[in-house]
Amino acid sequence: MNNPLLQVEGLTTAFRAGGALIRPVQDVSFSVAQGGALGIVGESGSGKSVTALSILRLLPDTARIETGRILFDGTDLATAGMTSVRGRDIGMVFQEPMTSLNPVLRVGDQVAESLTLHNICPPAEARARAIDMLRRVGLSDPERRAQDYPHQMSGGMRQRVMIAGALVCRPRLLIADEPTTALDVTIQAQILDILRRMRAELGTAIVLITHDLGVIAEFVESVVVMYAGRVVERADVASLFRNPGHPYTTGLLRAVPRLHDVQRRLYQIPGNVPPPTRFPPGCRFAPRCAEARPICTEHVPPEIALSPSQSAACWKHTGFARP
Amino acid sequence: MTALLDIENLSKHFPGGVRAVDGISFHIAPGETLALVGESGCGKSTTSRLALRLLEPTTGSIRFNGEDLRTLSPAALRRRRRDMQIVFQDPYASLNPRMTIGEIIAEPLRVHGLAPTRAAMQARVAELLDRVGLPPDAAARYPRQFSGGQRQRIGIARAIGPNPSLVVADEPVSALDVSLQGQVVNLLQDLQEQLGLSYLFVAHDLAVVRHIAHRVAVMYLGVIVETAPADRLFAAPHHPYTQALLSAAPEPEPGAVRNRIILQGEIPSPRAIPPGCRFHTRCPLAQDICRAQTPPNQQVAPGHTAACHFAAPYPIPTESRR
Repeated sequence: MNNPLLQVEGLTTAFRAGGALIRPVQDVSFSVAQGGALGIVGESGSGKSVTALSILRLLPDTARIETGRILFDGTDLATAGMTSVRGRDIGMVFQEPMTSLNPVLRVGDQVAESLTLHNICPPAEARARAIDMLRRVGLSDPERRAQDYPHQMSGGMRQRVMIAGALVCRPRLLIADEPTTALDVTIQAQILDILRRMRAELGTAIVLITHDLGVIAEFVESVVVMYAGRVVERADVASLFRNPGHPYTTGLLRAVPRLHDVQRRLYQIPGNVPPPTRFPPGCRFAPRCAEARPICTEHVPPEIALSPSQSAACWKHTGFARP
Repeated sequence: MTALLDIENLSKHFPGGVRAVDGISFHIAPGETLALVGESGCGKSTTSRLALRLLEPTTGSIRFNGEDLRTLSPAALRRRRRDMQIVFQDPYASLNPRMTIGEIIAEPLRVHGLAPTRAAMQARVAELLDRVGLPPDAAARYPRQFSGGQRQRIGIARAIGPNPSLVVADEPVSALDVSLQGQVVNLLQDLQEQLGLSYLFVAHDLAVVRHIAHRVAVMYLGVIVETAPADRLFAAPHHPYTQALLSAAPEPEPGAVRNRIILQGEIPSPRAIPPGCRFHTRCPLAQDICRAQTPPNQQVAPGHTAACHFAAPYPIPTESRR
């Protein structure tokens, strides 16, 4: 296998919160192949968004990366000078396009901005390329719409603008954090279609962060499942859905309501996702897990390989014994 | 059987020419769940508030147990409200942070004079907490001490306190993580069985609706485009919008063969509703008649109506899908 494009190794991110230190992301590792599509799936509080912000070095002042390395094409991003990479080699799309776009700047100028900021081309050409990109993400009449301000657009159109801005420099990696969560389902279908097409056209690798297993199933090749700040399972998408290795993944898959399931009752995982201030010791899922044994609440389970493309951090794969 | 709630030709227009709800009719039988589904701006939340007369309709009638809520005096309406309660979408915004859970649940009981003594009130609050699966000591605590799923249980306990016959649930699980949605959906079903409640369940997530609704009404731009028993709606949708909505929902089945209909364009503004069929600007089947004439509500099977000139099972042919 070629060198991965993005490699995250042992990432732990800490936040100061009222005198205490909390770690919403702990010892997280994964990699993304050149041109590949990786999904990070988890519920609120799983640490998936903090992981994205850590990679992009967009953490608030109260947070810092405690341990771990983030390699982009073999170079440590801690030493690379993030401002030259972010926006040029790594594009990003966030959930809420209204707060991510500048309200007082015309959308055409915002899309062109990263081209001029990184001195990729002169302003006139940047403008033309921005309009071309707006056309490619499916904005009708892009010359005229480029003159609009974000508030004149619908949520779906703003998300197209965000995607155009993220892709205009032809980045090698796109990090998309819940890019369709705030959108209606018919608009979500349009946006996923655009992301899929742009990925094919530009060869951009994608890290797609979402809580939606349906989006995961349709869009990515490999998946990292996070729960309460840790990776609990990683797998190729087919194995994950067919043969999940972690009880949390199993529960999540059973809990998803399905369109063609006639059963009246939904499967429910007991209990609640713990906040980062109250992560339990051992396996963090143990208090909600039907299969838990005493070892689970005492020791953090190691990641056990189940196949070359799947591993799960669960003691059941060692027969509940420490190796 | 007479309907518990019978709504006819209901509309709500807001200043500035916004036709949020534009002449809709539906009914809910005792013990039944009707789901009102649609995307943002379709008028489903406005409808849920009109049904309880929390908003004043522009036209139409709302019959509750045979009595037109629009003709009731304010005092009579207040008494009627005991029978009609609501659960809101956002479990964080809908509970007063400075009241204890006990006070929150007791409030509607007090307003309607349903617990004459302090002891009776405490007993009733404890019973309600138990019904929704919360411990008795929750009564002395504050909303911030509970998670989203638990807060939604508190909202449900508050709603069922006065023994209503109808509960309007406005996107009650949309803000919850998927591992918690089941807890709330199953609780609502248990309570329906135990108490004989009727639900008007407002949602955008068709998969959740599949599990809870007996019947489904699909809204688009202020009107109902299709109504059918849930099994039928999912098996044989007759309106192209319903089809598109069903096909757009991503399913957790990798590699599944999909016939996705990707609708072009945006949902028009309720300020500038297209003439003829409101869906024609995005409909892959639209013909001249759709641009000119509002389609009538056609009965395509018993209890199943669709407002489309070309209503048919699977009207959108496979070749125009992706």
